Amino acid sequence: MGEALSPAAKADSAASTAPHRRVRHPGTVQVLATGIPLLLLAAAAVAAPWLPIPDAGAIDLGSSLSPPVWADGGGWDHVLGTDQLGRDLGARLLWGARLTLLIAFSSTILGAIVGTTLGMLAGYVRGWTDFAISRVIDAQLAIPFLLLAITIMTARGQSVGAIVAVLAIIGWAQYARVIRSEVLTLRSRPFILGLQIAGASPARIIFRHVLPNIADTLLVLATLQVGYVILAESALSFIGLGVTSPDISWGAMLADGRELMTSAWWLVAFPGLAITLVVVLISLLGDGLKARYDPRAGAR
Amino acid sequence: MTAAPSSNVTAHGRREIPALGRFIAARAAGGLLTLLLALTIAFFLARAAGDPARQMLGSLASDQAVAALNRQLGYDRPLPVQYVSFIGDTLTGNFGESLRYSRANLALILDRFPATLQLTAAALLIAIVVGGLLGLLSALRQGSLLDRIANLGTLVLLSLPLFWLGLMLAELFAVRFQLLPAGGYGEFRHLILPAVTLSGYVLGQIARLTRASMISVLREPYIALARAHGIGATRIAFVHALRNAALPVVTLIGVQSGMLMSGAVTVEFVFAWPGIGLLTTDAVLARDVPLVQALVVFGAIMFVAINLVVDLAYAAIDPRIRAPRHG
Amino acid sequence: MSGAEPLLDVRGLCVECDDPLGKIIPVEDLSFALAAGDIVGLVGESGSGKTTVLRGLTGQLDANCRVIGGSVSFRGQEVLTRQASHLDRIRGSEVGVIFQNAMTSLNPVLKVKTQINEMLRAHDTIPHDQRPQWMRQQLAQLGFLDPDRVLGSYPHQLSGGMAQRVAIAVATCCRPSIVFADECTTALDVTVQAEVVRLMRDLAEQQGTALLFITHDLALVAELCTRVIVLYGGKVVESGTIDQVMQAPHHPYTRALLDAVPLFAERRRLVGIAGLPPVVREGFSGCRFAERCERAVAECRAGAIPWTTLGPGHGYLCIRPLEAGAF
Repeated sequence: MGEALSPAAKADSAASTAPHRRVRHPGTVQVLATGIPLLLLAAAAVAAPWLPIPDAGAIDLGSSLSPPVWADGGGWDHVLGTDQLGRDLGARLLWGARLTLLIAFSSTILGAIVGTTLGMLAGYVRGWTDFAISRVIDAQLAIPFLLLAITIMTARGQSVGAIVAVLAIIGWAQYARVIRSEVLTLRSRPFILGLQIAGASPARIIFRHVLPNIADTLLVLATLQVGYVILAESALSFIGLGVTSPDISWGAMLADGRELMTSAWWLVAFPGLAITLVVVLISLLGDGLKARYDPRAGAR
Repeated sequence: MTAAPSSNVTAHGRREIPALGRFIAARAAGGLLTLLLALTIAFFLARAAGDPARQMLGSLASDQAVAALNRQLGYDRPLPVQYVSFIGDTLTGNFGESLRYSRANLALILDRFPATLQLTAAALLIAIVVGGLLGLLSALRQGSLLDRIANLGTLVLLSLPLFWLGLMLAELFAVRFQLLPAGGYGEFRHLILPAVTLSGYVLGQIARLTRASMISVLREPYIALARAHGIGATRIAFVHALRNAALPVVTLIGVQSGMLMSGAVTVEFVFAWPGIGLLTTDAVLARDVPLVQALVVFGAIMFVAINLVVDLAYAAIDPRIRAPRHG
Repeated sequence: MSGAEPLLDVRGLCVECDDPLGKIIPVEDLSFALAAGDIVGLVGESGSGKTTVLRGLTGQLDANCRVIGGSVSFRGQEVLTRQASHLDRIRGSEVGVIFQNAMTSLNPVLKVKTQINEMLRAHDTIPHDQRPQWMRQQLAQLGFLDPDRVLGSYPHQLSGGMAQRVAIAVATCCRPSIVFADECTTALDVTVQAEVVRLMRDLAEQQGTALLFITHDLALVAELCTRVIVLYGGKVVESGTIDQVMQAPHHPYTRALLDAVPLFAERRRLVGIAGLPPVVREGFSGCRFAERCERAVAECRAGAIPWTTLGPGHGYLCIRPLEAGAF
């Protein structure tokens, strides 16, 4: 049959002879627009002790429960209002950011390390290892995360370390699943076969060749996970299992402010707003990174 | 799987069932395995993680008191022994006894189950209908203002703490506008705020996935052909495309049921909804470890069961799963 | 052409598409006519624009493409300027379309009878109660021995050949006067191809349906068609009856095509055509084939090439044509 009448007939616009234009990476704008504010927030949180803001622990019963500056009774000395002990809400938000972000990053990193390692193992070694790890992943994901966290925390007791560990335990499965499927795809590529024939050890192949190739997927996933962890931690703290006094996190602030909500709506509104805003920025950052590193993944 | 050349419709129908039966059996077996593993994970994480008895009694309790509690609950036995009896008990329906209520945990849970079922069913319904419609419209009007607003809206829904949404809604509708009750149980109006709150996250997920799935389906050749043949856009969207687009969403619902259960815990807490979630938070407050453990077991069972149902629903919608090829 | 009023009259059709690097002209100055019973082959390699022609005719151009010139009249009525709703009435009932891959052009979740019924329903050609019988008749005519079984099947349950015949049934069930077939035999094996060709010919001969057969397969065109249009770089480079074009090609590209097909090149070595078809952008001047043409001279690239008419529907686009009989 007379197929493709010329040897390489492809309708390919790459065959055009138009002048070459430098194409800016898609998503760069989004990454910068979301990443920079987040970075600033993190920097401010770290620098909180040295910033010229009211002391987050300063009790001043005289100005207890004062509303934000734009409402009746509010003032510029407490821009976002105060809680029942007169502590400045803005300052507490910034201090709360420290713990919230610390927990989020630590458990994300921990979960990423465990999850990526297991995912790579499962995807590369395959066979029974893969079967076993995959079943454990499925099992882990079958337990509603809050219930699992509750089980561990109730038995373990609370401390920031415990919270980080719990959230990492909940999160690793997501990494493992995604990384595993990436590695499975990667594994079938010729260059891996070449390395194997050349006698490179599996460990070397995994860490020096597979890992760099999945790094961008990992980055996107980890970014998004930070968001999930922030939400998870806030839920835990809200029901009393997470961060507790005297530590401050945004979730804990929500728990504290709940009873006083009717008389002091700002105690609940602002921490929640802070969480929402940060997670929105993180999601957009993740999307931007995805667009930048893997534009093939179908722009919406 | 080649068919006899002269088979007629009834023969074809008869041959369908074994394939479906095999499908169900395979899924059920997989589910059971997953469940077993999940219970194992939960068990070891809880037991090996710390000292439950100490947690229950507090740091000021005496060592003897702690030891006594350990003996009472059987936590002093070797871990493997505890594990075996745990699995055995679970399989026979013995989920232990609550420390606080001195009742069988399973009975306690089943008492509260209908309320949670009502809440999650309502939330899921809202999420599917509103989310699905939103996603569908966004796909049909890609790039429009509606699409952009929906995109932003779902992003926010996926980013906010559900319980915070609940608190704000309660403050707004119950306290400020006095339209709906802020908590309680019994009438339909009590259900509205909690259900709407709980639906938030899943609604966002469903809307996004429906949109993406619909866009993808609308690019398929069979849709282009239907259009080329003059079939109206509305009919194409609802009759030709939607059923195909729904498939990934059905799977999503199964996966997200875990999120729904987690969400139910905090939402019930906010609205004092007397379901399993509230039971959980109460148990947490009371450090009632046996009850908390029983709740995790129940949660895992529910998740596996729901996913089994979801798999069946998927098979019902997608004929490629349930009907074998014939020549 | 038999001198009868043409069903479809395309004159000077021009399509342009947006592209990150500028505008592309995938189809330029395309003209041809279809009368009842005509079987016209539109021949071109990948990149010649033949798919764009189909999309342009059925109003299915991508969002970044548009018709910028020419006219398309159906039964004397200009079609390009009509509303979509009016066109929908013509589509399917007067014009049927068959795609290359039958499996993907059928909706996987709908039964065959539903898909055919959708057509009948949309165009209301057959009264409701007569539809089942009509569907059975259609399938029987297409060679199915057990129409009922096929009607109750899903696409994935059919073989490739059966699926293609079902696709033909869908396209013809409303008795359209024109059928566009886009590479509809490419994905099939030889025996099935032969059957489909026979069915197509029957359509034209018995029903008087005009067929536009879009393909790259010259041998098929020689077997099935009465006329042929050779497309290159978006322009018609030669057209005429089968005998006229195949026996005595004038355009070097036509000759090269024939040389590349074993069937026609018996006396010569098989010769491929080096290079790729051009992507024609705004401002492209001269002959599209000049880059790959052995006979090209400076004038070929200089300006617009005039069409040379040798007779009704017979002509070529070349300033250095082959001598008649050079084949």
